Parts: sequence; structure tokens; C-alpha cells
Amino acid sequence: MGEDADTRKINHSFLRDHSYVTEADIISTVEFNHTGELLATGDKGGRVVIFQREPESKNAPHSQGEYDVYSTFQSHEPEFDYLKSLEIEEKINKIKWLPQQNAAHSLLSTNDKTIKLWKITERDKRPEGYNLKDEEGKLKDLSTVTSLQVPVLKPMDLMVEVSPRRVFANGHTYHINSISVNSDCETYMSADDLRINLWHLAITDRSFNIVDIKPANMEDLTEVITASEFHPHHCNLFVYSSSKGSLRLCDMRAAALCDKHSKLFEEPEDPSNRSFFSEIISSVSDVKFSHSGRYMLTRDYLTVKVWDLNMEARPIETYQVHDYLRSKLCSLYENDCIFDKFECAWNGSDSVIMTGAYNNFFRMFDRNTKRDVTLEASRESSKPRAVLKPRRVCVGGKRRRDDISVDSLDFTKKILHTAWHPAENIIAIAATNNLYIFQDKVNSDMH
Amino acid sequence: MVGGLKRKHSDLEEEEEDEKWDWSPAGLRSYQQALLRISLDKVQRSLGPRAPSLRRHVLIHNTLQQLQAALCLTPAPALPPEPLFLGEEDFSLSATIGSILRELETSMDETEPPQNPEAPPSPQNEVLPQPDPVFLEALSSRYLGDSGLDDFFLDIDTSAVEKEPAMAPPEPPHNLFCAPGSWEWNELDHIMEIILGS
Repeated sequence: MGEDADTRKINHSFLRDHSYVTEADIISTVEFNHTGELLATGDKGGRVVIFQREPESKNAPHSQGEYDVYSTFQSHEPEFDYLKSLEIEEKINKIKWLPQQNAAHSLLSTNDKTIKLWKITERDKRPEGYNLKDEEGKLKDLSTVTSLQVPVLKPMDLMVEVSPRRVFANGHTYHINSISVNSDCETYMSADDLRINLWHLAITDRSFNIVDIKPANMEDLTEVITASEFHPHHCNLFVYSSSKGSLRLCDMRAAALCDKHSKLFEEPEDPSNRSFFSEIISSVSDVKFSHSGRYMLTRDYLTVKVWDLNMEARPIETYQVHDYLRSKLCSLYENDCIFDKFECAWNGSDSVIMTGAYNNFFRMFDRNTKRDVTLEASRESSKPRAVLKPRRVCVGGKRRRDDISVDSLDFTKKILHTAWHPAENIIAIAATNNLYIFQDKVNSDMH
Repeated sequence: MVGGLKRKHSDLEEEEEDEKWDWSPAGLRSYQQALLRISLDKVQRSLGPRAPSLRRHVLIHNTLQQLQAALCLTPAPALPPEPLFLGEEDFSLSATIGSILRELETSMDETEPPQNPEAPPSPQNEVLPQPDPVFLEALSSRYLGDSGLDDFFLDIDTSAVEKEPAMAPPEPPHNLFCAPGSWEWNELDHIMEIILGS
């Protein structure tokens, strides 16, 4: 990949008909399941929409397995906490899929306060030939029944049913920012600003507190938890990130309350870049283990960093997402953009990392070739099935024809949520209320 | 005021980007004061019917502490044309921030709210219906200084709405933030009309 290389990305966009943005439609999370067959999105209105990849068919060779809507349901409703006179937003903060154990699919969805386990099942057969009821379900007159028949299952149109199986409520005083399913497939954790709880998937009335960073005196509070995740293979290890830019790897075997980290990952501050905003921009907004489990990826305001679990002193790689914003931090502080929380993602082979930016741009970095590309997710710049063109932000100096200048970036168009298919080069990008799915035509066989 | 602030702001930004910065003591101080104003404005504005983002508050708090430290270190030139409402020499910024975080705790935490020694409710506040003493307390302790609103109530006859003066002060509800346009604001307005009318 490079600025001038043809990335051969194909755009399958799922765009709603609205020309204005209703706040409820703003997508707040995107997540592929473990096979990549399903893609779930959550929005500000508390709804979850699941897309399913159609199997590639010989009849339409260029359909290439498109994603179509599979199911839509209302996961969370707005609530009001009467005791504290506070509204609880229905916005879905995170969705995590459970590994599939039978024909049904399950996922966890959470808002600020409550986590729910949803079971998604398919029904494509219907029993017919009852003895006591007729076709419409009315009871038959028994005197007309002269023989017995065995009801038979007949095929019907596919019906997808979603039901809430568990509601994990009252576990958090502060706002939940992350959930992560353990590799043991029995437990999961939920993290809010100050505490992390461990739950058993089958038990809703009880959870174990495993991290608590709340100070005795709230006036002494200077740091909050921003994200957390279980290690993909070691069920006893998890990491959590903080607003001060540090990562703590914890081992649940060491103690019941994991307030003492096993490892602390922190990069010393660069004194030449020191400003009043140094801490805010160092706040980690997302942390993701690599698929291999050997590395961690973090996103702070201006960079993405790759950390080696064996080296705590500094990241092994740092990539600049939009360093041209460094001189604009004052304005970005004033308009609150400096508090935006961007997510980051690994590709299936951990060789490429991706994150979103402003102006509907998103960035990809190839860890091997050290090349990077900026792409745009917008209706204006790409038609369905068109190849995406690399974009460039010019920071002064020589300006090329299609360059965007820093001052004309639209900071209301932010790509906070992105996801990468677990195995193939398919990415899902949430741009406000629109979902874009891009596929890599040429490289789908290469890893 | 927002427009004025923005204009001042882009001036500061241009200063930042120039090769030669005018970081004279006056320039630096006005930059820091602008940041201080923006920060405090943020804290005020972020309070609403929804529980505020703790992360945002903590980050702003830490920035305010840095600003306070910097303002103490930089020499104070002639008083700026718009004095900060908190006062130059004597404002207890950490106390202000502290009270904000304490109020956050009482609004969000499951434990009993701690006593607030900063601004004990004045006697007039006790007799008003539920949301009002808290709104006034929050307003007075954080914005206008403790003596701000007491004078306002001196000549208002509250005997019409006075209930049982012997009662213990009501537990302040956890919603300490009364945004203009909210139902508490409208109710307060309504009550004030009744009081002033009688």
C-alpha cells in the first residue's frame, strides 16, 4: 500500500434514505463475529442491526458475498434513575459476540449501565398436521377426527428471532466503556470509569469486582479507566488503559482484586512536545490485543501504538494518524473534539492496523512495509463498487490537486468506530449514521 | 460572549503557529487565562440531565490544575481588562474543582453523599421546594461566591411558603445541576414569581 498504489477497495455501502442525521441513527459500535459471517452495529437509539454475509454464488460472481440485513432489534431503552435524577442513555456503547456453541448466535450489548445477553435463532421450519388444531390454529371438533396423524415439519420462510436471555444490571455506578468475553467462554468483564467487574455468563445477580481505582476521596481522582480487554488466549490475563496513557496488564491468578498490575506499559513523555494538552492527548481511547496475543494496539488522540507484551518501557511502533492537528489542539479543546474516542483494529494476520480520523477519513498502516494510506468513507467520494482513491491532507508546501487542507477538514465527520473481518480483508466503517463495508478485491487471497 | 471568545482564540492560535511566538509574560498569561475560562465554561456546560462524563471531567480538572500551577509561577502583570470572576490573588481553584468533583460524587455514587462544608445551605434556601435549595447552593458555591445570593433574598418575604422551620435541612437531591429550560428551572421561576408576588 502506498499513497499512489491502487488499493482496489470495493465499496458496498448501506446508506439510509435520510438526508439529515437523526441522532438516534448515529452508529455507536461495530463488531464482526468470530467467523466474520455476521456484523453487528449498535446505535444511539439503542438498536442493534445485524448483517449477514451472503454466500458467494456462481450466478452472481461479482456479488462476492455481500452483507445484507439479517435482524434488527431494540436492545436498550432510555431510562431514568429517579434516585439520582439522571437520565441513562440507551446508546449502545459496545457489542461483543460470544463464540458460537450451537446453531444459535449470542451477543452481549451494553449501554452505560446495563449489559444484556441476546440469543439469535433461526426458524425455517414449521410443524403442520396437528390432530387437535386445524391449519389456522382453531380447535377441531373432536367428532370430526377419525384418524391420527403425526405432525410433520414443513419448510417456511426464514424467520430470525432475537430474545434477551440475561440482563446484567446494577453492576456499575459509573459509565460502562468496555466489555470483553473471556477465552474460557464462561465469563466476561465489564469496565466503567473506575471499576472492572467479572461476570459469569449464566449468573446475573452477582459479579466480582476485580479492579477498583476509585480513591477514598473523590477530590483526589486524577485518572480513569478508558478501555479494557481480555487476552485472546490466556484466560487469566487482561489489560486496561487509562486517561493518563498507561496500560496495565493484570493476572487474575495473582489476587482477587487486581489493583496491583503485573505489568505497567507507559511511554515517558517527550519534553519537547509538552503542552497543557499533553495529558489529554495521551489518554488511550482504545486497546486491542493482536490475534496472536503477543502485541497490543492502542489509540490516543494523535497516534496509534503497537506494544510488545514483553516490553513495558515503550511501544515498539508508533504511527502518526493526524499529526497536523498538533498545532490546533487549543481549538480542538474548545470545541471538545480533543475528547473524541477513536477505536483501532488489527487485520486478521496482525500485519495491518486501522483507525479512524476526521473528515470521514480513516487510516491504515502496514507494519511490514511501513507504508500508510488515507481513505475516505463518504457518498460523494465513492460510488458502490468503485475503487477507493487514496486521500491526502496537505499541511502547507506543495499542494496537489485533490489534497484537502487542514483548515477545510470537517471535524463533525468523525470515524470513531471501525472493525476488521477476523480473516479476510473486509472492513466495516461507521461514518456518523452510515455504515460502509469495503472489500479488498485483489488481496483477498494474500495474507 | 462565545463569539468574542472565539475571536480571541484564533488570535492565540495564530500566535502559536507563528515562527516567532509572542510569549511575553502578558501574552502567556492571557493565553493561560483564556484556557482557564474555556475550562471552567466546559465544566459548567457539561452539567445537565445526564450524568457527566467522568473522563472528561478528570481531564479538564487536571488541565485546570496545570493552569493554576502555571498562573502561580508566571509573574502577574497589570490586571487584565476582564478580571476573572474568581478573583486574581485569592481564588481557591482547587477548592472550586474539589467542590465540582465532590458534587459529581454525590450525583453518581451509591454511597451516602458527604456533608458539603464549602457552602452550607443558607436558612432561606431550606424553605423552598426540593430542587431549589440545591440549585441555589450549587450556583452560589461554584459561581458567585458564597455571599452572592444571600443578599438577593434578604428582602423577600418567604413567610407564605415557610413550612416547618424546625425541620432538619432536607437531604439535597443528587441532581445538583439545574440547566436553564429544564423543569427545575421552570419550577424555580414559577416559585420565584409566587414569592415576589406575595
